[in-house]
Amino acid sequence: MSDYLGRIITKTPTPPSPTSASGVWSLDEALQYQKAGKWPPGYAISRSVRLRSSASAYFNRTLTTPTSSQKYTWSGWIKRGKLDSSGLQGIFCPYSSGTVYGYLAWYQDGIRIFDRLSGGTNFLLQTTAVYRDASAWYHIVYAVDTTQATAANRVRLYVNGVEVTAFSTSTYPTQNNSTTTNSAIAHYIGYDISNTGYFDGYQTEINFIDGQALTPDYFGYADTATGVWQPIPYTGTYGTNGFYLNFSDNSAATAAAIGKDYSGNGNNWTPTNISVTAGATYDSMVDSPSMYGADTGVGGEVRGNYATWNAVAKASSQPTFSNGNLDLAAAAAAWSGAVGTIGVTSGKWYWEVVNGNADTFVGICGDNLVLATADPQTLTGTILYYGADGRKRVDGTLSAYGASYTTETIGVALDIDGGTVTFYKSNSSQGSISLSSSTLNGRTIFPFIAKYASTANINFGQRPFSYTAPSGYKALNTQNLPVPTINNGANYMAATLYTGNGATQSLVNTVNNISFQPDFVWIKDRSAGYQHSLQDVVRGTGASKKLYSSLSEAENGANSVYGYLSSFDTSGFSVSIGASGAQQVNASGTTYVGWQWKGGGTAVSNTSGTITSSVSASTTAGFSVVTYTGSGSSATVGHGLGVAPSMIIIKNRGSAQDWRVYHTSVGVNAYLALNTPAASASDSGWTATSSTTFTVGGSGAQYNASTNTYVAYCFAPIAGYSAFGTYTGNGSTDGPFVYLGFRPRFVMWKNASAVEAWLIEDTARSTYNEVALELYPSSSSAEAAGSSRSPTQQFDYLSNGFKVRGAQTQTNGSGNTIIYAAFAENPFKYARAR
Amino acid sequence: MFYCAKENKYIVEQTPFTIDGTGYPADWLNHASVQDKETLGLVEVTYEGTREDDRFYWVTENRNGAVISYTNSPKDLDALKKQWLASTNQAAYSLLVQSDWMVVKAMETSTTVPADWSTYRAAVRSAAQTAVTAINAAADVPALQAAIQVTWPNDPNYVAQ
Repeated sequence: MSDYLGRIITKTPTPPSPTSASGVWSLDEALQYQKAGKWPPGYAISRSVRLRSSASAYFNRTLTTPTSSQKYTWSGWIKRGKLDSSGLQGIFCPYSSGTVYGYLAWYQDGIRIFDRLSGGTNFLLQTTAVYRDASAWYHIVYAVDTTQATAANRVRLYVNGVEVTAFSTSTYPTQNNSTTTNSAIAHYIGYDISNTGYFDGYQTEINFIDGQALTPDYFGYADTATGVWQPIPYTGTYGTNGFYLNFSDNSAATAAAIGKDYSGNGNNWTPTNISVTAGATYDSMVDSPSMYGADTGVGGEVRGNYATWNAVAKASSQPTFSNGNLDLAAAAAAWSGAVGTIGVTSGKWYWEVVNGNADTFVGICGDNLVLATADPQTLTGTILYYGADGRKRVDGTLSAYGASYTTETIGVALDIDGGTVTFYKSNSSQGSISLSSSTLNGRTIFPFIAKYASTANINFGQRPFSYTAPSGYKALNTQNLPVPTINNGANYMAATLYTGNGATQSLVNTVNNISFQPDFVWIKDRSAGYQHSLQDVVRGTGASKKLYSSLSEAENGANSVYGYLSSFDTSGFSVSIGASGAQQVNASGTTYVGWQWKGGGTAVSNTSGTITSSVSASTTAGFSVVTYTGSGSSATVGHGLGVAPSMIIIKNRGSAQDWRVYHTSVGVNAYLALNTPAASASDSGWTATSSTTFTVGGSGAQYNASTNTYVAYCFAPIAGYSAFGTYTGNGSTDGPFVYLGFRPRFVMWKNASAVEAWLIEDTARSTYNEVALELYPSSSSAEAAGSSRSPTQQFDYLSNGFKVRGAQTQTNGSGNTIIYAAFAENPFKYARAR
Repeated sequence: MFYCAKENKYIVEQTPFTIDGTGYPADWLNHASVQDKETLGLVEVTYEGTREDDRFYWVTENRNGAVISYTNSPKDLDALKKQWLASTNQAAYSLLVQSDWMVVKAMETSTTVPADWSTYRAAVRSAAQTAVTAINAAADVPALQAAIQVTWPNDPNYVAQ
């Protein structure tokens, strides 16, 4: 149905929750949404406009005398294209002269808000956070009310519904000042004249409210199931200069069509260098923060967050990305490589590439590709189709395949279910290539290209395809991605911050109304440097059940007197004071973080192995707590996960032995020790894994001494929720990008090649990028900030993974093997940009 | 990973699959019992031999039903040397570039680079040169794999945890 503004309202877009069938709302969900005043919950944003900075694209309109010269709100959804660490990209910018102007802009990859009166700066804010996630959508609200008594309340900024309060620069307007923004001068969308700063990327659902300073809940809400910020229609008044642009009319590149104002004011915006002519410059996209629609293979139909080239995936020679990261240019000096932002493990997918010359390898790559080390066309982990002579290149080896190509449209049809990839030249199949002939088989697969001295533009379906995709093949967007088992990581893993009170305290792990009863709690103080404290539901609560990741100490040892976990609660846990204080869990005034995982509750007996174990397992979350008694000779132990674990952390409970860590990337017969910074080492008696058991092959006291008791924390990867993998460091602040398939909440690292401490960084402590607040499982050290160290050790947590932004050996030693364990906030299918 | 003999198909964890025309969700393997898997004809894959580092070897998986083994053939040594020499030099550059400003400042102001940083920069060059020598001298791929294990020095600001 439609409302009076011509906007489409439908329940179709919102994904089904695990408790409802596709497209059908459960009564419980419906009542929840109605109670929150958000029914129906799905709101369809049908199109976005791409602004190509290379074409100097923008919209402009000269405003009139405003309803208020002191109050306004700008709200919009933005997906970034070209990243620019030094330049300025104007988003919404008034300009009258070189002394009277302003902007809302990306600047040095942060958000910068500036308003200048003829006499000088009116206000200026620069976020400490950087926003370098071009793989998903941001919602930004910027509201001004200069009449506010408190200076910091006069200009407010919100990203994805959360107010930004950390600014590296903050100058607020004098109370009751008028503003240049929203005055009767020219305004621009996507262009700041003062810096010649063109925006690159996508914008949609822009609401400008003249006369009111509004909060983000006028424009969006946090979904009750996923916790992800979603758009809703703005239903208030707009004021004289207010406007609402949704770019839904792509019949013409005119103010009356693509620049049409749907607020009812008729404040249309004039487009410049915006194209709605079919082809590579077509700027009316179905790339949208909403997800809905069915795919018939023609492209330009399904709404969702679409794949683009990944601007942060580091290559040995980096191409230049532009035009919403759908175009790239490779220099003549070296072969450049680029991968897509969406990886897939199942299904049938189609996209098209048009190249500028024959020095091109169009293809796919697996997550085993190490892009940064050499010419991308030569690398293991790729299947490519060569323009110059039509040969294919599988894992670097060339052989005969199809016809040569230059500027023809190359279609890529990837059938993971059938195990093939087929390349099409101008809609003519060049034959299928088996994935099993390559190292890509069974891996996460991405779009890939290697180029030399030319350009390429790609279409993942955000605009119509040149040729209809083969039957059953879909465009690469989040709507078409499979529905993950876990749509909100907050149901299974939490990082809860609290300040100790020196007595007994109950902590709640609720995030956006989601909470759970944990079965494994790992507590670490942030401010004082006390030992880590680990307790689980199988071993139980109380001072005698503590273990310490930073020590080899057994249960009930010398550290048991410094406070303990006293109960696992319905929505968190409780901590109590010990015989000598509560330093490790609840000292007065000390700050803590409690990492929590959900297992299977009360333990059950597991007889899958030769040793009977007690297991609390969640097969949904891929996590189990296992206790067993060692046999002193080769044995197997049941873990209850149904699939082989990728990481197992074992501790001898009764003896001071090092922790043992198995990680799939280090492999069997090799181990790491959680309580030491040692590099990986070999032990032939150490573990192998299967879907039912792990093997403790010898009599090592760390894992299988006769009559000794042990606890094992076992983790298996769950798509969209957890991942256990490895990457190769490059020693650069432009470090590797690691695709997780989700937006991470918690990541733990270890350099397996070097003597370096374990590291944990989470989003409860580092609430924005760069993520840099460090804690070390193998050390009692208090929290350190990566920026205070050298070389710095920082990360961007992104909608689809993380990007290493520090050069430190600990997580980015050149050529070193770095392992990680990561847990999600949300799967990439639903995640917003960070 | 599991193998389904009757359809000669490999089933990967967290991936939906179809057997006998029936679709199974991505998390079916996680929740199914051993008996459920056996009923469906699924056998857990076991691996024989070592899968070498595919940065250095052409690794071929030999799939024989529920047993997978590997054939590891060394890649062209000269090409690998060229690649890792470039990588080593790039690594050294990335470490040195972070303190290049000190050298520039020292030259412009006629002062000296702090001694600890000079020592560190020399150590980076030395480590790189040692690695380059070892890479050039590598007689085979295993020797090359050992040669690229460079222990870079920590800079003077480094704080061990």
